[in-house]
Amino acid sequence: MPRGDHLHRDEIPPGTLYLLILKTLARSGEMHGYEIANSIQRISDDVLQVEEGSLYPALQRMLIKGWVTAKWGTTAGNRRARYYQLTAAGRKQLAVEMSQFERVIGAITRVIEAV
Amino acid sequence: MNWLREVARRLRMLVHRRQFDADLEEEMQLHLELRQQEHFESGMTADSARAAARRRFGNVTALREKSHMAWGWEWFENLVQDVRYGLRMLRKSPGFTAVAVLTLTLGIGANTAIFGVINGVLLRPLPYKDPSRLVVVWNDYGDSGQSLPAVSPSDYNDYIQRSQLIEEWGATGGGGRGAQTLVTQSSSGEEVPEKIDARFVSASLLSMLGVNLMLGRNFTAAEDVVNGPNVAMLSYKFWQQHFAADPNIIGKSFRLNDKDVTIVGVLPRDFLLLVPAEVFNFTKDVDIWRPQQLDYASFPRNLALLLAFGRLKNRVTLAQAQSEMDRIAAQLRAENEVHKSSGMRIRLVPLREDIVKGVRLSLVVLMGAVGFVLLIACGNVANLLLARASTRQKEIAIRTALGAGRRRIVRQVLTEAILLSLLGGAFGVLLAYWGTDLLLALRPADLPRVQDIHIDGSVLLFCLGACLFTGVIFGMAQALPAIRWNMDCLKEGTKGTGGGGRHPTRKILVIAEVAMSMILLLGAGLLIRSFYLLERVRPGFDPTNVLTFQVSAPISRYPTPESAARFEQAVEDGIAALPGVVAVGGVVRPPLTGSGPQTPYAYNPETEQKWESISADWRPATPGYFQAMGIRLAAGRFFTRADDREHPRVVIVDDTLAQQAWPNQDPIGKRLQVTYRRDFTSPPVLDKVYAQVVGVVIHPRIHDLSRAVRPQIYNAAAQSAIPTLTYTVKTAGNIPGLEKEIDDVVHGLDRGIPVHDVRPMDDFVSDVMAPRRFSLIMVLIFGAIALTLASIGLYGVIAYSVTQRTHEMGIRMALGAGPKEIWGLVVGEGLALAVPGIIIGLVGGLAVTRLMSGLLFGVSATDVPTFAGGAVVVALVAMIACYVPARRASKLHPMTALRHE
Repeated sequence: MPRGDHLHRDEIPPGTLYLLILKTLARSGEMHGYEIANSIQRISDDVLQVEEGSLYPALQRMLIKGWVTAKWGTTAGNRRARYYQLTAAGRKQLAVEMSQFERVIGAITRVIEAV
Repeated sequence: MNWLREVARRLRMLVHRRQFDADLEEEMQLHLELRQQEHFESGMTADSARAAARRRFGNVTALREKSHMAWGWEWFENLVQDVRYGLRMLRKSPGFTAVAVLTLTLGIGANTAIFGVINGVLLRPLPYKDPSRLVVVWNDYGDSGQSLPAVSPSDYNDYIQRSQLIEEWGATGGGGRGAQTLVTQSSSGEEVPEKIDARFVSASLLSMLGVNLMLGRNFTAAEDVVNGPNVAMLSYKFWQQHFAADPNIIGKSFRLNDKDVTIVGVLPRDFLLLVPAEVFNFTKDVDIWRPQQLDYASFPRNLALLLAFGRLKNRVTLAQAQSEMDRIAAQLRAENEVHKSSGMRIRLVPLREDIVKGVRLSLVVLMGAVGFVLLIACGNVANLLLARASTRQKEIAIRTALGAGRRRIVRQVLTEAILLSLLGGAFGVLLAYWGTDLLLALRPADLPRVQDIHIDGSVLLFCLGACLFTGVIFGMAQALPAIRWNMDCLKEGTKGTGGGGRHPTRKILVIAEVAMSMILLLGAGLLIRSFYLLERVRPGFDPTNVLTFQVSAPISRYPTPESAARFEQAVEDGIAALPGVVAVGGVVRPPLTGSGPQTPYAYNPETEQKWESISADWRPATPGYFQAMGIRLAAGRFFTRADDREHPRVVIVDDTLAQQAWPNQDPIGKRLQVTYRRDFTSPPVLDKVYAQVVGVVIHPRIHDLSRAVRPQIYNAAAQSAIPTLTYTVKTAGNIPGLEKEIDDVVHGLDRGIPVHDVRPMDDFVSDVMAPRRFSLIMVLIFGAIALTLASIGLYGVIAYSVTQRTHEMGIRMALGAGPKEIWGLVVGEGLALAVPGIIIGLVGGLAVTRLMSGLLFGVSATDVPTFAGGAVVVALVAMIACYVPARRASKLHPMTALRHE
């Protein structure tokens, strides 16, 4: 099956989707799903490729956890869209995920450099 | 509290789930359109732009489901779906639903009602403060001596002084009707004497039980002393009846036994002093409560007349308290000669256990019986469900083909089953309300704690548990074969191949049902045989046409034993002269009226040494008593009027005692050491006296028709000090107006003395038979229901099988089989189910009926005639169940049968 333009892009490392969404929202305030997907791709210079639909189950889970809240607003193109915003709990979670991520990356880096 | 907020969010989602789904749908749609537009603007064709957008997005349906499931309500939505579907299925076949619900109503309702009784009598804590720590003190003597919940006041005093592990003590030292006379004015101004039931208690007893008085206060310690003030507390009923519920009653006084008594309190309506059945002279309907005002230490050690209660200290076990009481008993034996010779021991029994011990076995047997009924009901409903399985089988195969998991299928089937059982349970609760009333109406008089029997939360909880249990049981019976079914049935087109014929489940269920109803029937049969044998037992006395009543000669008017005896003789003479009276006599405690006085006895140096280690029932009686009660003389003579205080003491013993004391000798003229009450002083003085045996009677069973309890010694009432006698009047038949004439005789002698507790002797016999009658009727009802249900189950399976085999029978008929062969075929199939059921039931019966041997009389738990008879009954009922299908089969026209699909 042809993968087309997916071929040169990297899948998001498992478990980091929450981190990416949290970070994106922290940087830009309010966003709807499409904007979040685009933002992740743009900032990563199109390297990180989200299976875009998987944002939505993740966002639902984050709503349950209380990391984000959602409210309906209007897009620039005058369409109804659900805008997500970070909560205080979300900010706290971002810090947790960040430090966890850095710990893992640090460990991997040390392993690689030791070779 | 984070998780709480999370739960709140999830709940909000559940309530607004349609909105959430729509929102999700909308935002996903927006995403797809925006991406599509982006691609379109970058130069793709509209179609490839849409395809690319979809590709990047992923599987929309799967993602939608994943998002939905994130909220964790999948199970709930499935449940709602299953319940809706289940209700629709039940509505679609109202006949099936009605039969199944009715069956379950019967099973669950009966179980709930019986559990209500068990819960009230056996399980609920007693209605007292911290009741699990309450104990009753029993004194046991020697190896075969007296064992009663009665202690001597002197000993009781020592318990209080010496026990460290029992923090509170309370006692009641007598009472009953007869002790107190209340004089009221009739409307014509005449003074009417009335016996009321006064109970004498220590000041500590009611507070120890945690009674909250309705009005006033409890007795104080200062009131519970010798020659203390005349005070009383009233029962709620007495307060209502005699004082018109006067709210200002406290401090007022009334005349009792010619003395003014001040009212200090009124007890609550529901208060009842629960005591072991062995307590002497106790009636439940206490009218007034009085402080016992005893000088405990002045009582002789061998005069056990107090019922003593103790409360264990917190965290003290029964075993610890018992070993402490063992030490105290050892001290008392060392210090007191009477305790040493009698081998007195102290035994603590938890109050609750003591109260219910007489009924526990029958109630447990009833619960077992009714449990069987429920299992059989389950079997029937499962059978009905399986009969419908042929249609369901196809439906389930289609669902499986569409991707329903095994678990989902089982859950669906179970949901339907539990729906059915909950419906049955709802009606069952109604049935139980009605059934409880019926049970209470039928209950034997001695059933304790009746006031605690009602349908409360725990009974409803039990009912719910029974519903879930039955639902799961018959649901699984249906679900297990269901998950084994495969898709093959889809291939077979419209040809309905029933599940029932091929699956052994239905047959196994019917065999189990027959077996269980067989066991129930065996239980009922054994109880019937016992009851019948007991009815025919010759108890050693003849209750027919005997009327009993009590008369007390008050000490204030008859201060000496001689004057009381003269009054008693005058009563006897007056009644003997009435027309129709054959014989009349007085006694203390006639047969079957509860436990009565006992005396230690000795007939040789050895038993004199171990004085009080053996005891016998002690029945002061007048000369006419034996003839009036129909007690037969084996040797010697009855008492005469000459046996009075001027003459040597004489006794009549029963043959048991004569045989034990003087085997192979003539007991007449032998000497027996016993105790006599000297006079009416309190505390009573007991004299140890040698009396001469003048007669031997055939032992009458005075405690329980089923067995001889202990030897009996009768003494001449005129030689003792007896203020209260029960008179027994034997008449030539039913004499109308006899009660009135007796009243006139007594009032003619003394206007101030009431005649009370007038009852025919037959009543007492019927009372002691009542518990057996009750268990018998109940087990019989349950047995009948069980057998009916089992035969319906059998009928269902056979009828179904006949329908299934119509084609086959047509072929057989075409090949020359006559109606007889067809008949045999069907009945044979029925018997193939009934016979294994009967055999399993008989074997199971051997194991189960042993548990109820405590309820049997005169038959062993493996009584062969009962087992044989039960088997025949079940076999006959099985044949009847096969009759209709067999008849239908034999009447089939071969051609019709062959054309039958």
